[in-house]
Amino acid sequence: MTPNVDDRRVSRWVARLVGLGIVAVIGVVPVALDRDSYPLSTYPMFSSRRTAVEPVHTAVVTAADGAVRRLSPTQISGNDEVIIAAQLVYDAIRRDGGEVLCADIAVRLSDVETGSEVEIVTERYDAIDWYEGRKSPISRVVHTSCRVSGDGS
Amino acid sequence: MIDWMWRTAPATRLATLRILVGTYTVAFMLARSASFWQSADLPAWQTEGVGVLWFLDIPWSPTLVHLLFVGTVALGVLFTAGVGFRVIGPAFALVFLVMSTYRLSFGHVIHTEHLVALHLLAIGFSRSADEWSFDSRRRREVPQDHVRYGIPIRAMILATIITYVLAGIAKVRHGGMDWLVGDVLRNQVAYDNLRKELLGSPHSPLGGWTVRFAWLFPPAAVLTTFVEIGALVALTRSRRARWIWAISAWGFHVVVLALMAISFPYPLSFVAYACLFDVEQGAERVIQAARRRTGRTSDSKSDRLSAATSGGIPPING
Repeated sequence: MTPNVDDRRVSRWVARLVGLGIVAVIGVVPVALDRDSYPLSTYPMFSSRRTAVEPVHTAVVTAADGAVRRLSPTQISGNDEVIIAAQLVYDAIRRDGGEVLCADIAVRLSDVETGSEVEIVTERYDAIDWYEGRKSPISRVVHTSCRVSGDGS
Repeated sequence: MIDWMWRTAPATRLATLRILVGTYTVAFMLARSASFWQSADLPAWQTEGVGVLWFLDIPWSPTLVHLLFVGTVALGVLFTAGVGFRVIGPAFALVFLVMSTYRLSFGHVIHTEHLVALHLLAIGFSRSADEWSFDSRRRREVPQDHVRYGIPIRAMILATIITYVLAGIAKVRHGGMDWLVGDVLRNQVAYDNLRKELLGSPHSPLGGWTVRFAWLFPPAAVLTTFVEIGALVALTRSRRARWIWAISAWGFHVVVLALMAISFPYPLSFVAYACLFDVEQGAERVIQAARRRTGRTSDSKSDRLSAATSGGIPPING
């Protein structure tokens, strides 16, 4: 079935409008607004001017003997996405110094880490040095800490 | 060029894309079910709506999130099978958009689902179940090649190109020449792996080892930007150029996975690039091989009219 001339003219214009609309909505609007969102984005991943020395906001557990153990994203945030966990710690520090998050993590760990301390920390390392074997932090700030009790409180 | 969008395509091509993208999405949701499920338990104070949920400032009830997740998966199965597609097609595209938006509404946008969400909108709001679907089983007439099948595919191609080009532009825009010829990429790889280690997450030992070789990174940065902005070759008629670009982009994601333990599953599965090619031909070969194996004769509608064209309108190049 061959479309008639009018139909073809209309569909040609529809196609052009769809194409222009897609370019405008997906391509131009996010850049004009300079906003990373979903599903429209400027796709800024890996594009920042990263230096070798950057802060890492995280939560750790310090055992009674002083040993420091890293927590997984799930233990920190309740979600297994590392970026969500990192953002959660960062936001928590800005919000209340990490106190609420510290208490949340302590509750999550109450079955396995009784008697230990949760610490919300900002650590600063030279990332290149780290992978060349020099793993001492440049700085380490403990924002807050809280004890893991066995009763889930 | 202005009529690049206006091309016919066989209904089977769009149907193949429906099956591929639908299957991918259902598999992705099941593979990441823990993350979708756990998004119901993220702290209320972290709620920060994005995209279509921009207004969100308190989380939904866990029951609603869990029901939405199960419903999205169920709709995805129906979408892939092409059941009641006039309703299910748009419904799945929109519900997936809402579900995936909700998962990202807690402080940080992850960029793994953007393209698949856009592709689902193109497929879901088109007549992509006119062939190889539950809906088309009893239809006697064979759909001819038509722009109604070509335009959604062109929309998918355009979305794919734009995402890569924007990513390439962002690197130069935010990182400047340092991104291309300096240590920015090396620092990115080192920092990202270190952050994962400090946050108790799987990281890439290969990436950690590689950052010792500073000279590797400027050429890698230039190549990355070249591949991303090079997505524009997908606009060309040259099938070879499109293959070269798709394989280069796929290779780029493999390297990102190897060096940074960051997975972009949609491009890694290659389904993201399927819209660039005559995917129905591969699907037809698979169907014919299956028929030969089972001893059935080849009598499908698409076999009878595989070369049908609507006349006058140029077909999608392939």
